[in-house]
Amino acid sequence: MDPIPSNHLEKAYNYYRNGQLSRASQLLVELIKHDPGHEEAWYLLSYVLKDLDRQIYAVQRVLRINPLNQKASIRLRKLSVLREEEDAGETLSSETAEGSPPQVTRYTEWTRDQQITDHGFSHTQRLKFRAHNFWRRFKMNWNIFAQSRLAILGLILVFIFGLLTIAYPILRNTVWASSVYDPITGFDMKVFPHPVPPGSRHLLGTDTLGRDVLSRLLAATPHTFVIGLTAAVATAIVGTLLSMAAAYFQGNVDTAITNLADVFIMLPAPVMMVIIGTRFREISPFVLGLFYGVLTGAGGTTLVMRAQAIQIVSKPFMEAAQIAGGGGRHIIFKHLLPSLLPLAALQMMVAVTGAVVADGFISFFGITRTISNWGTIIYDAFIYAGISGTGVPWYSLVPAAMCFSLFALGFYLISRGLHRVASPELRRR
Amino acid sequence: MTRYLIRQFTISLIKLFVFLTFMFFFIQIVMPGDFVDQFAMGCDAACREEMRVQLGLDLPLWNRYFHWLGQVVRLDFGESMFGEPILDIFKRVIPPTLLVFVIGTVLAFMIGLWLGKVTSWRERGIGSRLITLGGLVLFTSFPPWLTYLVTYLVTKGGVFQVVGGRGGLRGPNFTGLDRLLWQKVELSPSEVIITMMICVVISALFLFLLKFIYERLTKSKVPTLMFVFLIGLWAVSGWQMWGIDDLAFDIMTIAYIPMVTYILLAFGEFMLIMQASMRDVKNSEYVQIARAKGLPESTVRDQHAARNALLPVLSRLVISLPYLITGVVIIESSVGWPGLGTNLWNALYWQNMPVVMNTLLIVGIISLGARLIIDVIAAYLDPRIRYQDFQTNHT
Repeated sequence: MDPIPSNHLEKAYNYYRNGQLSRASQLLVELIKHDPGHEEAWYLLSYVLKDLDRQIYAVQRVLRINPLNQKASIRLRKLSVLREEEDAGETLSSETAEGSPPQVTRYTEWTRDQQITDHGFSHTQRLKFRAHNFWRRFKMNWNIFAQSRLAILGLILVFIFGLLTIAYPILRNTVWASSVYDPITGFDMKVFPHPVPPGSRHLLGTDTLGRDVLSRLLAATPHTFVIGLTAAVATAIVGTLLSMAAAYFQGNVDTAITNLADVFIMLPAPVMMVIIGTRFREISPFVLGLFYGVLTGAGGTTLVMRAQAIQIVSKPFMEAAQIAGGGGRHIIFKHLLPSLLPLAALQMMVAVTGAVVADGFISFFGITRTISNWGTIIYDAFIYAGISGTGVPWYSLVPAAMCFSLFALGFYLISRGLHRVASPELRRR
Repeated sequence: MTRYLIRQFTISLIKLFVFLTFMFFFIQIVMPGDFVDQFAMGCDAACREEMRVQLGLDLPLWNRYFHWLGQVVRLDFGESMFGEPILDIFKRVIPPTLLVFVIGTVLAFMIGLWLGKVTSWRERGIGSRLITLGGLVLFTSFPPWLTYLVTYLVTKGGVFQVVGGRGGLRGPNFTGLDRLLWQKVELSPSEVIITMMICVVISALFLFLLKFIYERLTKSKVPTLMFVFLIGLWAVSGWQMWGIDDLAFDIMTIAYIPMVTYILLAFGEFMLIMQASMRDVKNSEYVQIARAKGLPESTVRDQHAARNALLPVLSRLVISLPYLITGVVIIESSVGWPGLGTNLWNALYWQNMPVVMNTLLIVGIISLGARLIIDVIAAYLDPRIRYQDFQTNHT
C-alpha cells in the first residue's frame, strides 16, 4: 500500500474553499480508502457531497467513529431537519442550494466554546425544531390517551365546566337581571310559591329562598376551578421537586423525604382544610387550594412519584448522561423531569378531585358561611327542608350534587387516560 | 421477621413524634390569640394574667411544647373547654368510629378485590363495564350526598339525621337507640361496642387459625364467602355468651347505615386499583403456564394471578388510608353517628380547640396503627419486603 500523502487533507480543504468540490471529494475518497476510520475526512466529505442523503450518511459515519463529536451530531440534527422539510415539500433549506459553501474549520482549530455554542441553527430554525418535536410527542401521547373513550368523556365534561365558568359573567352582564339572578340575594317576584320545579323560566328551578339554582351553580364554578387548579399545580410542583430530589441524591436525602412524606400522609388534608376554613373565614380559594396542594403534594404524591423517579434514575440513559458530564441541575431538569411529567399530570387530576370535594365539606357542614360553592347549595337545601318542613327540595339538591360528581368524574376519567400515557407497560395490552 | 417488625415499630414512633410536633405548631397558628384571650371575655387584665399563669400560658413556647409532649406520652390529653377530661370523651367516641372503620374497611376491601378480580378477567363483558362505571360513579360522588341517598332509601324518605344529632356542649350521643332497652342496663353503648369488637376480632383470629390448619391438612380451599359467614356467626354467638346480644343488635340496626355508605364509597377505589394491578399480571408468562397446565380458569385467576396482583393494592392502600379515615369522619357527621367525626365537627362548632387538636392526633395514631398492620400483612405475603433495605420500602 502506498503511504498516505500527509497533505491530502489540507489540499481537500483548500479545494473545498475554492469551490472545486469534485476534486476535493476525490482526495477524500482516496484518504478514506486508506483509512476507513478517518474521522475528519468523513466530516469534510459530508460538506463536499451534494446529495442530502449522502451527506447524512457521511455524518453518520463520523458519529460511528466518534460518538462524542459534538459538531457532527449537531450537523446530523440539522441535516435531518432539512431532510424532513424536503419531504414535506418545503424548500427552506439554504445549504443544499447553490451559493457560497458553508465555512468548515479544521479539527485543530476547534475550540471548546465553539463546540458547545455553535449549534449551526438560526434561532427560528431551533424554535421550529423544538415545536416540531413537541408536536410529534404530543400527537403520540394523544393517540394513546384517545384510545380510552372514557378519557375523552372526561375531557368533554371538564370542557363543559370551563364553558360554564365563562358563561356566568357574560350572562350576568347581558341577559340576567341582577335582582333575580344574584347568587345570594336574588329573588323572582313573578313566581309563587318557591321552590318551583325546572321550567322554561328557570331552567333548573329555584331554591326555597327563591334564588335561581342555575345561576347559583354557575356563580360557584370559578371558585371551584380556582381551588382545584391551585391545588393541582401546587401538588405537582411540590411532589415533583421532592421526588426528584429523593431519586437523584438517594441515601439520606431519600430516607428523610420518604419519612417526611409518611408523616404528611398521616395528616387528613380535608379535615385540616375544614379547620383552616373555620378559623380564617375570609380565606381565599387560592390559599385553600394551595394548602391542600402542599399537604397532599408532600405526602401521597411524593411517595407515588418517588417510586417512579427511582426507576427512571436506575435506567442506563441516566448513567450515560452522567458520564457525558451532565451536572446535577442538567440531569434533573433535562432528563428526569420530562420522564416524570405524565405522572405529575396524573397526580394533578387526582388533586383537583380531592381539593374540590374537601372544599365542599367546609360549606356543607355549615361551619363557615362566607364561602359560596356547591357545598353551600346542598347545605342550604337540607337546612331549609328542616325549617320549612316541606320535604327535601330536590330541584336545588340534585343539580349541586351532580355538579360535584360530574366535576370529580371528569377529572378522574382524564387521570385514567393519563395513566395509560404515564405507564408504558400498560400500552401493549 | 421479628427484626423487621421491631424496626418498623421504632420508625413509626419517630414518625409519630414528628407528627406531634407538626400538630402542635399547626394548632398554635390556627388558634386565634391564646385560650385566655378568646374565652375569658368577662375578665379584666389582672384576672387574665392570673389565668395565664394558672394555665401555663406565660411560659415560652418550647417549654409548653415539651410539657404537652410529656402529657401525651402519659396519655394525659388534658381537659376539653367544658371541663371534661378528653380521655373520657375519646373512650366514648373512638369505639363507634373503629366499629365502622375496621369492619367497613375489611368488607370494602374484600368486595373491591373480588369485583376488581372478576371484572378485569372479563374486561369486555357488559357486566364488567357496568360494574366499573358504577364503581367510578360511587367513588367520585360527594360523600354527604351519598350518605343522604342511602339514608333516604333505607328509611323510605325519612329524616336526614336518623342516628343522632350533632349534640350540644357535651358532644354527640346515641339518640336512635331503643331507650327502654338501654335503661335496664348499666352499660354505655361504647362499652358494648368494645365488647362486640373484641368478639369479632377473637373469632376472626381463631377461625383464621382453624382455616390455616384445615387447609394444610386436607390441601383444599375454604370458600371466602363461607369463611366470612362463619366469622359473623361465631361473633354473634360470642355476643350471646357475653349476654349483650340484645344491645348489640340494637346498635347494629343503626350502625349499618354509616357502614353501608362507607363501603359504597370505599370499594370503588379498591376495585379500580385491583383492576389496574390485575391487568399487569394477566398476560404474564407464569399465568399462561398455569393455564397451559390445564388448571381451571378460576384457579388460575384466584391462585395465580390475583395473589400477585394483591401486593400493589396493599402498598396503594397505605397512601389512601388517611382518606379512608377522613371518609369515615365525613360520613359519621353527615349521618350523626356519634363517633370521632361528629365529635370533631361539634368541637369545631364550639371552638373547642383541645378536642380538635387531640382528635387530629388520634386520627394520625389510627392511620399509623393501620399502616403497621398493612406492613405486617405485606411482609407476610411477600418475603422480599422483609429482607429489603429500609429505603426502598415504597417502591
